[in-house]
Amino acid sequence: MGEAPGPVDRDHREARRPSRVYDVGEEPDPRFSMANERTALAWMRTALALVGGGVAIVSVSSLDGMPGWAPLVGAASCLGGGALALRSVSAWARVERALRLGLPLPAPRALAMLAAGVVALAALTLTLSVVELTTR
Amino acid sequence: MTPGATARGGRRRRRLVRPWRGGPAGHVPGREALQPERTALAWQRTAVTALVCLVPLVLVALRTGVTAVALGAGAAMAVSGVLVWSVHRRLGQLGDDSRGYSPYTPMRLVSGVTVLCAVGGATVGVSLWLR
Repeated sequence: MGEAPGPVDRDHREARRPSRVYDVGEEPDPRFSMANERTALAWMRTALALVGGGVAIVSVSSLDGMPGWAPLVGAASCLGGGALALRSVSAWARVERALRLGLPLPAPRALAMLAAGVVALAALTLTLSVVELTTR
Repeated sequence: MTPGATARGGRRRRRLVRPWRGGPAGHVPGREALQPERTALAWQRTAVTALVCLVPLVLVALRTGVTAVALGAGAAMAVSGVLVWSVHRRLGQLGDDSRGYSPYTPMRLVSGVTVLCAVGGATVGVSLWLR
């Protein structure tokens, strides 16, 4: 695991993309790289859950008798999930770069953004539900 | 007598090893607590989730008549299916550090499928709202 790579291995490493990540620093412990990869995949699954939830809301809202604002909540959830998926790739690249350079890991700002987004979506849904109930 | 066996009534029985009850833990294969397997399984879970998320999108797009979204989601489903099939190669690559694998391309693929699914869902949602 900690052995120095041979010439062929170095060629393999030079071909790796993105170059902004792999052209800098030194090869970190593979365990850390794999943990970073799994964290990015967990973020990706969170994004997929948001998108899947949004699609489910949209599909339910196509039924008769559902409130007119429901598709908008679904669309918002879908767009949030899409943004999170893009961010998970960039976060993986930033953490991998920090690992290679031996720098402190970047702060997980996406966690606060995700929490704020979910709370905002929940508050919006609750408010619209209350308005729907009172106007009936 | 070996630690994993006991004698009772002249017969030797193998004692059940229960590490979760504080019993003796078995030998863990190398590669530091199965890190490659865990990573490959994380890929498999993500690819399967991407595939499953697209099924309702195709159904809703077909039901609401947004054909372009249904076609796009169908194509994304095919990509996800290929991804599910292909990530088993990741296990072999993870077991060999000298191959210098980069997860960037498959990660971008999953991200692309997710974004496509998100845009499709948002398009169907907005079109339903405007009706």
